[in-house]
Amino acid sequence: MTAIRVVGVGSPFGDDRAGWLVAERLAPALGAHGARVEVCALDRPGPALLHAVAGCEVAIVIDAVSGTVEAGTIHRLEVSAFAADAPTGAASAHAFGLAESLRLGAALNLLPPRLLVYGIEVGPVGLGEALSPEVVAAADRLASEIMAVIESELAPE
Amino acid sequence: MSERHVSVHVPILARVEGEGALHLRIRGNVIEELKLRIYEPPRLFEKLVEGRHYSEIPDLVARICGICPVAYQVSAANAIESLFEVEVDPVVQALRRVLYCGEWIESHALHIHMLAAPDYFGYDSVIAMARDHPEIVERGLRLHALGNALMTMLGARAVHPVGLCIGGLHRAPLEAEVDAMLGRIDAALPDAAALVSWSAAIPMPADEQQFVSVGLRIDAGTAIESGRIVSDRGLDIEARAYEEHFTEHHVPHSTALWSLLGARPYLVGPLARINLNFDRLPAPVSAALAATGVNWPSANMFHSMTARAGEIYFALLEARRLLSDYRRPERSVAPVEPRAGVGYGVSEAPRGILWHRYQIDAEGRVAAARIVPPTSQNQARIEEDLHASLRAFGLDHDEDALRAHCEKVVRNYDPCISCATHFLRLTTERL
Repeated sequence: MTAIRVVGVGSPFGDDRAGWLVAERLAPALGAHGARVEVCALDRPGPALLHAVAGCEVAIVIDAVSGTVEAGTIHRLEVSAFAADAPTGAASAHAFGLAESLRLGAALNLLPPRLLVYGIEVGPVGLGEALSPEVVAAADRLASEIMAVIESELAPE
Repeated sequence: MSERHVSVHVPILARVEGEGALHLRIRGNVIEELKLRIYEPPRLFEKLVEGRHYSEIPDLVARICGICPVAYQVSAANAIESLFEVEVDPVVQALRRVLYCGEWIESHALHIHMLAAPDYFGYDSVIAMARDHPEIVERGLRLHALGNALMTMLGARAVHPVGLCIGGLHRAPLEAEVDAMLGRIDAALPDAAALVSWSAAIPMPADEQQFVSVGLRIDAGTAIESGRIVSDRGLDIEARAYEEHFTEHHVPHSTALWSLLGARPYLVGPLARINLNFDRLPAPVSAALAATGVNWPSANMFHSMTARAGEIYFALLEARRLLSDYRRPERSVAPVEPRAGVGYGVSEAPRGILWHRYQIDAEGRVAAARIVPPTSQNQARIEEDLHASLRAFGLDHDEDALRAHCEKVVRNYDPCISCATHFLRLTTERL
């Protein structure tokens, strides 16, 4: 069984790449752990995210977030923040976001025992492919942090 | 005696793809105004492909929709390949049809479970429904995942797949990949058969209406990726004759164009297809649909959900048939020689017929394009349906009930407004 699955969510557009970038940074280093750790990139949350996180022991999800704080700020969220009975927004498949997907997973008991969600605060997302230096630096910092989490999860007790 | 005036405004329709609104004004017992307003900005797809080389078109048009990219790719390929007289290998044609089956399964499973079903069980979202009916939602997710897997096998990824090119497919799958997929399809068939009877057992409003069904038909089998455009009123034309029979026009309250056949609204999509092609379905599918007790062809738009479920079952059986005895072709792309002229293509997107026309120059570049998506074709029919359906439901219901009924009617068409703007806030006024 795959112990740990890392899922980067993003798109090719500017800082929205953040989740993919973290996955790309982690993939080479995680190869050494063989089938126990898997890394994948998704272009949206939704049902595909549930298929990606179901059936492992620890899931680590990284996505770009847009709030009111400085670009490059790293947010750390716990699974309990996605309780199934939390209020839901208007959910079309186009608007079925990370929170809605994880709430659906919680309602169906599909979420792994440990679920870590990281968000990288991004600036305005344009149509170009270039990332802002703040987000690249944050992706590097977060990749190192997640690597340490994975090493400690895999370390013999 | 006092007269009742009601105004219902739904500013954003939930559980539809894209942004739209509905405005309803009722005076006494008369609907004075009813407008399905599509306000999502125009996306100008046709202009974006002008000047681009024909080889870029499948990847460009796939970006129009995240739910039905294969439909856009196939209609474009049909148009361009017919102009260039490209002879796509029959095995590769069959693989394209399987790719399209994957999209039907993925799109329909998503609509039935995540968008439509909560309406009929009294939930505001699939998340709320999942707590009480996890087995139903899980079945939907399994079918959705299988549709995605078929698309990934042939298109490299499920969203905006990149497998299709003018002349064929960039890559034909290995026999081992197809064998593994056949096992997954066999395992999913009981889910699909059960979905048909489950959907038909949901109590639906009795709401028979007169409408024209339009879809594709082929000489043998059931149309998916190509065919002649037919209606249940005798229309039977090639894709190239579309503009002689169908017209599009602007209405002030919508950024999507409205389509009419002659001077009348018409229906495209799963119910229209089943109505037109019931005799062409494989025996297990027609038997499953007949066993529901619905008299096909059906004049009740609320039977669209069962039509969708029947199409999932059909698409699985069809993918299994097409992939059985698969032998990997030596070449998956046929030679292509561009030529100047106008090409026409049509296919059955999950939501109905999707028509494309490309004018190509001598260098193989697009000089002009026209793309008519299913949702814009259904817009006039949705308004017509709302008028009839609201009268049948009863205008004396309170605003919440009117709003819920309107949303149910609109969602039933699975409108993809993002495609068409090229959808629903409801505002109601009682005066």
